[in-house]
Amino acid sequence: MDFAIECRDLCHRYGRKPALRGVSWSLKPGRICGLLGRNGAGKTTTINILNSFLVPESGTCKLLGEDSHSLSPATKARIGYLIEGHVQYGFFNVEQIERFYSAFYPKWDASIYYHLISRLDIGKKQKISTMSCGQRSQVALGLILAQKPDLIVFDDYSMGLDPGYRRLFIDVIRDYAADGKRSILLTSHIIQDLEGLIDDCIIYDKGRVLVDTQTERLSQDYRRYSFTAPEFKAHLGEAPDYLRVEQHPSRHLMHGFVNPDEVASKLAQLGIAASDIKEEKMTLEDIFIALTGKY
Amino acid sequence: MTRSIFYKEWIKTRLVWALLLAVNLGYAIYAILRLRYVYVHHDPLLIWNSWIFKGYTFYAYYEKLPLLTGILLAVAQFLPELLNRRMRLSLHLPMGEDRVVAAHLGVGLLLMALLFIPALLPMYAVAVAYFPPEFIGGMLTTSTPWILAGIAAYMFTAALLLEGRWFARIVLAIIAAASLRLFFQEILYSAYERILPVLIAWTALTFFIPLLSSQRFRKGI
Amino acid sequence: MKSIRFTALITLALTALVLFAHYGPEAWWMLFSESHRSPFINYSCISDDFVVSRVGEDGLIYESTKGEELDRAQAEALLPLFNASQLVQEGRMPTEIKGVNIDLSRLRHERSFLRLKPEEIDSSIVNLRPLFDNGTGRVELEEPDDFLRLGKSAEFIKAKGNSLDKGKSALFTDALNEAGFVFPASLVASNPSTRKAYDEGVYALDSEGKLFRIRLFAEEARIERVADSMSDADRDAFAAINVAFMSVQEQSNGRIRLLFLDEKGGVWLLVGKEYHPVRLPLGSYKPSEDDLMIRGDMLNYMATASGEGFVECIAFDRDFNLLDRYEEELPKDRDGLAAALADVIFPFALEFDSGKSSYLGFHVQKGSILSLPFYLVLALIVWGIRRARAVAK
Repeated sequence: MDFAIECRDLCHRYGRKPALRGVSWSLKPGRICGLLGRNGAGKTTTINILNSFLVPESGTCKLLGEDSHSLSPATKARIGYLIEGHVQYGFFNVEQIERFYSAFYPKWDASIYYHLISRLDIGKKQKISTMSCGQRSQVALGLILAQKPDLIVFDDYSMGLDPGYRRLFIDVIRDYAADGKRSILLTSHIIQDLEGLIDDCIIYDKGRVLVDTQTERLSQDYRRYSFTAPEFKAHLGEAPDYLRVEQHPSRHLMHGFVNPDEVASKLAQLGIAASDIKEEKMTLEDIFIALTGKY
Repeated sequence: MTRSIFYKEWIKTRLVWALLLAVNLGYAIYAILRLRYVYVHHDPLLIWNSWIFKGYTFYAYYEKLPLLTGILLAVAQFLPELLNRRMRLSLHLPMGEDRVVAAHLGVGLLLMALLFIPALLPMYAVAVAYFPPEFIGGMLTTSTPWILAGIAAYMFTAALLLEGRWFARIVLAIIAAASLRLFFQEILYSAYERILPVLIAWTALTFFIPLLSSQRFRKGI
Repeated sequence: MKSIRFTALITLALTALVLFAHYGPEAWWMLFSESHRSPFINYSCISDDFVVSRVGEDGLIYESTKGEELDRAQAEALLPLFNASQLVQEGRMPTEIKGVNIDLSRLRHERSFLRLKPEEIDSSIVNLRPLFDNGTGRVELEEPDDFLRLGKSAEFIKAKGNSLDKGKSALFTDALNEAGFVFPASLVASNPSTRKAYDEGVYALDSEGKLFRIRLFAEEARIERVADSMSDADRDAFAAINVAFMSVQEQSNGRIRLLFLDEKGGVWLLVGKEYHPVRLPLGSYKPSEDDLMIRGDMLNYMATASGEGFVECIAFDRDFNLLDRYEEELPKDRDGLAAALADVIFPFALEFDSGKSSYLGFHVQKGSILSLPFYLVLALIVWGIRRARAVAK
């Protein structure tokens, strides 16, 4: 098996509206990958296909080498899946739900689950429906980790969580993945949390893969420069290197996969008489917004 | 694993199940008490005559209850699965999707049996005491369609809730209402005797409809 | 997975088809069926002809079979035994017809009325029947507190306590055995009503096809082998008949003892003390479909069969000698263009309750062969529209 997840040429439409237009990417074993994109970029559609709740119009998607639509029970047992909003069975209490899930997974380790629960201020008889979103997220996470899966898909894990729980969630994931054997795919809207966690980064834009690279490379090579210049009109069209130029009242901005030594010439090529060019620091979130736009 | 599914369904529905049991037993007890009352305060002959010549039976109160029971049990079981599309959790269990849904339906059937039998058994027992064997035979052929209607209503309600599309839901609802109406034709008792085998076969086949709905759900249809 | 999908889809498709075949025609005929009242036919002992009365636009119309229209007074005068009260009040009642003195109390006594409907023949009524005691000394029949079950033996079951009356059961079982009745009974008939002048008792065919009459008189069993009372000729004739259905309907004069059908649907009566078998030669009557009515008065008997599209009437004298017959074709409730269209739109129509039985069944009526091309064209049109839409996309 070469990939934990492998998507090939996924296309899907809702009615006439295209949601995915030929998406291909893969997740190598042992890596943590963030699937990012703005609302409506096609993340949820992809996740639904991954978890076999949607058949794409064309293309294939394989999880641990098996078609996502005909996963064998044995393979399913190796995949953990966190549903958006930490959805779980609200009618169970803490103990009952552990008892329920334990029957399904051969590698089940209840201690992982109870270790996580012990950090929370909840009793073993507390019903899940009475928990806060943060508490529920830990229950859901504990259940997934207790099954000791090889591949985990976290769909929008940060939804409804306060900063504390978000941090806790990330810490737990990081610890779990520390042995380097677990493959993890996660989606989130809060990108700053993912910095330093995700090895790879896939950014969707309007149903296409905009960027698919190592996070490290993205942070290193995608840069922002500010400069001053007289009024200009820049037509970038479908620019290579994801080049973007923004006009602002005082200092203008340019970003893209551009080395510091190329900046001046790039700007000159665009017909901008730039001066006082300075490189600025960028967070992952800055890069994400720069790439996908604010609107 | 199937036991685990049973455990989940039991935890989920036990309250509704207990309520339904109370209602089913309540109906049975009411029917029995009424029968006893008429027996004691009026003439047993009256009861026999109205049974033999007019087809009136004391257990007729129970007619629509299995239908209602089936619908409510299916709602109790599958509405929580519908909310937040929670069925995704169950379908992700390492069991084979059709098997998971079939296990859920199996639990439903078992729970229904545990509602109908406690209600019907006392009525049968009382019928044996108060009526000749002819009555018991008629009671079987008369009440079986009601039970079948309850089971079919359960299957259709489950299918309706598992189904993803509104149009398909409406089609299912129309088919369910139109066919279940045929289980309650207002004519004499024992009327269903001759078509009972077909009704039983059809009811058995309705088991596959929620399975189809869940397959459609998984395909995102 | 595929087989589940297939089974579910086939189930849904077949269910939809059956529902369409059931509700489609039902809705169609709710819209388009017309109601046709069957005419009322009487035999006139005055004109020796039938008087047909039918509902016209301005009330009842009376006709003779020759097509002469009669007014109400004329029609009533032709049927004095039927309209006696009215004629007496108007002072028009004859005192003598065909040499028979008309006495009002005798007239009432000699009236008979029997009827038979298909759902009584195919009925789910339980084989438990009251056996009234004719010898209580009371004017009115009193309901017994037990029921007779005639099967492998005679059993009387008391409603109170749901218990077997062993003494009475033994009494009747022994009496039946003694009379030569061979258990089990194969066919049993009686009339459970108390609103009758007397109780004819229970008629039962034994396992060898012999007919017995069972009565209770002053708490004693009275068993009568019917053939014993018959003339030699009648006995032989009766033995040759296979009785398929029996109906007891006591008449005030007690002449008609039993109405029964043979296996071919022939209608028979057992008449008088000697149980004289009389066959009513109705031509179109089908017991599983049509209604039968037998009426009698001081001078005549009449049998009327009516069903979808026809009414047939035969008249006899007092001794069941055939006098005349009348048959009329009637417009059907479901006829004409609506029926032709229904045959095309509904390749088959399915009814569960035929109204001719107390059991539900699958009553399928095939439509026209034209429905095949009709649905082919319809499918083609739908396919065309979908294709056009797909192309437009």
